[in-house]
Amino acid sequence: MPEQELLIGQEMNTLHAGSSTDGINVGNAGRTRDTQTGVEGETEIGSDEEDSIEDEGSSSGGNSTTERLVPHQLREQAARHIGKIGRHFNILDRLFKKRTQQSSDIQQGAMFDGVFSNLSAKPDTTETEGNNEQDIPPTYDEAAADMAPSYYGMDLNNSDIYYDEICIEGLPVGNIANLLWNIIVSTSFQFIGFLITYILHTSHAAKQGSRFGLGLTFIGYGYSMIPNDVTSKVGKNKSLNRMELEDPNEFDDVRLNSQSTTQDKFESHLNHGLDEEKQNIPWLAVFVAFLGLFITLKSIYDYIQVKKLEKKYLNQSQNQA
Amino acid sequence: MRSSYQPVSTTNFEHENAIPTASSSHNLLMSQRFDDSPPSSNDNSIETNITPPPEPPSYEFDIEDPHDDLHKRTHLQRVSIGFQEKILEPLMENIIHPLLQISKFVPDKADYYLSKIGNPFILRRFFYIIFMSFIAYYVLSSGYLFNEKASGSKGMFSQHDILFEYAKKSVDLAKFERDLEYISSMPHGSGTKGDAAIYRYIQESFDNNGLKLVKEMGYSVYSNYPGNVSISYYDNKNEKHDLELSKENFNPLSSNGKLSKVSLIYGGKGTTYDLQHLKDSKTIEDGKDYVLLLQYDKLVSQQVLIAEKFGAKAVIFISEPYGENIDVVQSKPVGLPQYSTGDASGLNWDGSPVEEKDHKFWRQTHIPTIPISTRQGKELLSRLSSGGVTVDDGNSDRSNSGKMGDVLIDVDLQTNVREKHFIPNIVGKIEGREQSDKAIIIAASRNSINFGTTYPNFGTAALLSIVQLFQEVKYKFGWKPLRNIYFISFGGTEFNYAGSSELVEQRLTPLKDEIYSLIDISQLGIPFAEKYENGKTRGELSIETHPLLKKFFNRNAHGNFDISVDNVQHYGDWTPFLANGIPVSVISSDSTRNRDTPTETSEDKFERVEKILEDEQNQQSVKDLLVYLLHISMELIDDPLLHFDIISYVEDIDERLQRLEQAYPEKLNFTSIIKGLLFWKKIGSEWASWTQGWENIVWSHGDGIEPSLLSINRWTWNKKLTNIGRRTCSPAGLPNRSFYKNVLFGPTLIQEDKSKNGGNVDFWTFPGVMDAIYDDDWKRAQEQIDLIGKVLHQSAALFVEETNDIGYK
Repeated sequence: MPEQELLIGQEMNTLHAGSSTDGINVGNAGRTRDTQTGVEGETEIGSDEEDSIEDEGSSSGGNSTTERLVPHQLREQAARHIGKIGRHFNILDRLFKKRTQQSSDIQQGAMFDGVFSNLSAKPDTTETEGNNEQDIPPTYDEAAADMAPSYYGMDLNNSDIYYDEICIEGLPVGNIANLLWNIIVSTSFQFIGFLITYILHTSHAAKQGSRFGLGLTFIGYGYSMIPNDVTSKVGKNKSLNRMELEDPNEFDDVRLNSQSTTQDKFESHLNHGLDEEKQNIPWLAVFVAFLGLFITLKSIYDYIQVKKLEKKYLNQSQNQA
Repeated sequence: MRSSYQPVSTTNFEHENAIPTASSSHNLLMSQRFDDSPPSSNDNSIETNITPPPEPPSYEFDIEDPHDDLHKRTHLQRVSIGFQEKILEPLMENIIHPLLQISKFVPDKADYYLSKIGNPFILRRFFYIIFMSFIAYYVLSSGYLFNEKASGSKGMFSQHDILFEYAKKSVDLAKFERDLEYISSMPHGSGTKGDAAIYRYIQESFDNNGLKLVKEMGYSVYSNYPGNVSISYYDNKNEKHDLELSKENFNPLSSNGKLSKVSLIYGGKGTTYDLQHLKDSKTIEDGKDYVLLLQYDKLVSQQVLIAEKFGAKAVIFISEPYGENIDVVQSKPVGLPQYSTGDASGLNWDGSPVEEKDHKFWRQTHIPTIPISTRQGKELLSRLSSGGVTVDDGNSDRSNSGKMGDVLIDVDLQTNVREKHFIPNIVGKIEGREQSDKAIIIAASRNSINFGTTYPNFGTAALLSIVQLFQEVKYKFGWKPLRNIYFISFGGTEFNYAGSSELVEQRLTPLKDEIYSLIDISQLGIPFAEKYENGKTRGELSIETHPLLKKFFNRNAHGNFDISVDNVQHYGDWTPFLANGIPVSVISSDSTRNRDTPTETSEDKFERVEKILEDEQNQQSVKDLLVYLLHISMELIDDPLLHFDIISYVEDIDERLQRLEQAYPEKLNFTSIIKGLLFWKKIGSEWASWTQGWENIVWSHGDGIEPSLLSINRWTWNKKLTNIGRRTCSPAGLPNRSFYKNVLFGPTLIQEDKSKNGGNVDFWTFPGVMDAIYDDDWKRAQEQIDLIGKVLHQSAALFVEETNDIGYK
């Protein structure tokens, strides 16, 4: 059990590094360390739940691989910092986190604690100096080795709609049905369909589906803008087969032998009526059609990329387990 | 609660760290392996256990090295390798890769700037939408896309003004002339090789115009073709003189026969009055054979019928001259549509013989008829002695009838008969978008045993031009009619309207369900500008139509034409439709309708019309005519409400009833009809008020948007209106003429005024009553009137009741 918890904590820490902040600290280790103290106080209350989990994880002993690589406190701080940034950029997370938070009672009553309300966020000045020295971000190798996806399995609450979903860039990947559904809605309602599906998308599949639909809509716009060449559609300039017959009054053998007959060459000099000249396709049509094509291809490409990534994460987590 | 959480992002310092991380997270995730070379000293156990970060995305296709074993590969493989090398790879390198680079770079940059405003994760979403909205707005407001004006519609319906404006400009007179020239370039009698070429041409023209559904519907019908013909007369010295005849001396559907040394009697126009006069004066007698020499009248078939009735053994028709030319021969068909139109062989379309072989099913004369020229007619007339009686020639001339034995003639007519000969109708269709179970037919007859430029080719060429105009409007505006349009080129016209009759016979029920109007344009001609009013030229058009549509045609009087609207007054390809209650409209030029020469002669050639068409005013007339045709057919097919006016229908019947009453006062009791008419009048006013309400809601207030509840109501009204015509039929048909089921409108069997004083008798309304009156059978006449009353009443009751389609069958 403790081993398991440790793993969770570990996953969570590295996850933020992997997704939202992705190991930026490697290059800027010193700078990050400097900022730690200033930021920490502000973030602590917000990240209370994670803290509690992390605490559980860290208290279970320092024998794990991670513990050997990076000192515990440093790891904790880095995680907190990274987590904060991650949350900051992840609206959905914040949205869904809220609910979990309300149901948990870990910090219940903290707001009604008078002057001590922010007690838990109070910086521990005695430890800070020592911490600073240990507050080294993970090396590239560590970061690279940690492929755990950002929020995978973090939330153990089964009621969550993203339970067991892999989030990439703060969005769950979503499945093919999601993609198709959004393509259908986005395409059939044209631009309005795109607006609705894109504003409301909650997964990569939905997002890319929505974009795909937009692409198709644009291609459709491009097509509609192609000038209508009525003249050639009704075949005004096409000449019909006007064969001349030698024996039009023949009534027993009425088969027409087109090769042996001559053509009626009559040409009328009368008005041909509105002979619409073939208009050039407006550049806008070309642009819009290509834009549509690009959006369509790009959406498919992006979705495949995200899917690949998801697959890798899944493989890795299986390997880890 | 979480106020301490928010200020985090507000510090500049925070941004510096966060921006690049958040924005480039995706890229870094995917490419981190290549970003920095990992320090080799940091190798540890994790590295070995856990798979390295994912490969960068591969957008190249996984293809084997093309240079490998090139010679071993199949042709297909070589092609595919060549494709890869020459197209795919340069494409990837020059287009796809740079594009991908841009696509990576642009979001990064965008994120960077977005993060200066706020949370890029949310903003990205909105900015993407805003950006795309701008593009979409620009595209939509560019004017290149369809808008209401461009699509010629207002709300849910078409704006016909815009469509007509366009149609006016795009009338293709050159096509009209080319078509007319080709169709007139050879004789094309039904079932001949010439017709095969012409109907192929029509089919091709339909196809070329992009008409999707083009079908050839062929029938096997009784046909005959010119064969041997000879007429010789004996002079006083018993010397035989041959008339010089050719294949032109031919009346389609004439019977074969040979007579020798039979008396020739001149009968003027061969009316019952004339022949009775001859009989009364003992010029002709029962049991004595004679050949009747007649001037052509308007209804040739009736002349033959009467001649047969009076015992003539053959009829020789004298053609009218064409101007100074007295050598032309009018080859008028002599099929008998009086009893029924269609295949003259006396067989049903499935090959079974018709049950009654008596005169009720006559479709063909029993005596030979031969047309001769005016010159030859004069020659024969000059041989007749001054004995006998004088008869009216019809044009205020009077000639002697001659006497039995005066001039003896030999007549021999052997036509080539084909009992079952293939005759096609060409049918094209434009699908409707709303009530696609309802349709109109625009039809033209096709066949002519001569060149037939004025009739029927002018109508056929007009049909082809109308199709093109419809298609142009369709393509230009993405227009589709509310209901279907059929374009039909009928074959077999000269064989007792075989093409159209067989079509009706085969598909009677579907036709009655679907067709609510047939417009025949075969008898169109150049509407010569005859009057000048305010410098404007006005041609004349005569429209014969069903009373339901009279108001429509009167209202649509065209600025360029004087239009006279009346009931249908003559036979044609529309007759079988008329007989079954389908409202028909025949648009014609007077001269063509009356078949003035050179119509139906060999002189009816294209050169004549070509000369006429050189005049710009006439060109304009033809153009106006085509646009007018488009106009009325479009109003009929694409106006949301059917243009059937019940009140004017009732008024029209009432007026005709009054005329009948005046002609035969106190002989008949019209109460039942009047009751029926009153019932209809009530329905009529209901329909009129509903129409007004609809117009108010949809046009005045709704800007062309029709509430769906109203649509359903409208469709029901339309459906019920289309049934009015067919409900005026009696399943048993007229007495002795069961083919004619329409008790209100149809031909009277013998269309002549026995009293020979009025000349203004309507032979095409209440045919059953008129037949009985002709026979002096007043009891039957009263029965027929009661039948009409009953039919009117029942159909009105059904109209009120019905919500679904119920035919009388």
